[in-house]
Amino acid sequence: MMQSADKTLFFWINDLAGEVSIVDRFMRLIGNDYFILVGMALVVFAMWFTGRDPEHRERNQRAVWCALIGVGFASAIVAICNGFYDRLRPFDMYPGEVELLFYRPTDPSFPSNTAVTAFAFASGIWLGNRRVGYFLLLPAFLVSFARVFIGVHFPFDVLGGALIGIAATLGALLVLRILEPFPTWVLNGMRRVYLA
Amino acid sequence: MAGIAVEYFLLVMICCGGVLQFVAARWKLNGISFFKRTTFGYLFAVLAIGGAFSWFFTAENRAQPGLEGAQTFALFIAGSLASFIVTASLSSVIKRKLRLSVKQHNPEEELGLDSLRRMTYFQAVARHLRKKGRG
Repeated sequence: MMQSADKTLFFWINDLAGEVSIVDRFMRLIGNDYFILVGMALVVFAMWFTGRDPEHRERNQRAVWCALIGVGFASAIVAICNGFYDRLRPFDMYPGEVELLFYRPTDPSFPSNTAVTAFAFASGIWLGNRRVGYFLLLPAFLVSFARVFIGVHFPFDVLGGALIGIAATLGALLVLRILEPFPTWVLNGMRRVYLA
Repeated sequence: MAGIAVEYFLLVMICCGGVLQFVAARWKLNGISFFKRTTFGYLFAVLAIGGAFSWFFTAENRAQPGLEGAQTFALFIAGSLASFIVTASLSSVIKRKLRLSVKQHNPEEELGLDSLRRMTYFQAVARHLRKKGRG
């Protein structure tokens, strides 16, 4: 049932590929391994230095930690998932039926690494700064859609990736709270050498 | 593989340099800014980020196998650190005359990055070391 819904949804989106050349090029650009993720990482980097006063900046810096540790946790979850569940890529599952606009990745289709990282960044920042967090959700959704459009993931791969990214960030927040006052000491230490 | 790693490192380093000039202009962190006028800071950010992205994505087709996730993460951290070091050093040299009278300042305000509103990174570190030396 879920497999069938995933397949239907995938072909709805992937059938749009190959129709308009400029749209294909745009999707190939935003769906690649670097474009959106580097852009999001730059926003996270900027957040470290952003704040109208020390309290505001500290809240942003804690959000940056949450996002980075969340990405680390999420990567570990992905590695575990890949050990247990090796889902075929759409172009391997339906050879000849998929409009593939990208190279053929060899790792498992589920979960989407790109969606995992994008949503971990967005949700991590959202925890400390709602406005920037919501802003980062837009590229996260965009890159997830593009991965399906270019034919390298099923919709449930990116949905699963998004959930893993968000869950990992919440886990990171919990760990940071449990580890208090250690994160505060580290932040104060960095502040003494003018890095925070 | 080494080619894409070097190119990715350069992309991150240049973009982070642009981001640092943007935040320096936006949050008045004069000590890490290369410029007196904030307009130039914003302009530098746009040119650095736009230029680096254009170069990286047009120099080669990026829709092909490249870096692993962990490599990408490590290179981003390395690139951003390198960018901060270069920015802090360059701005410290450019703005070495940004000397202030210590008496004017409330020490509470001069903690962490906020210190860089009124002194360069090298001046801030030197002041920290002097304070430590006095015990």
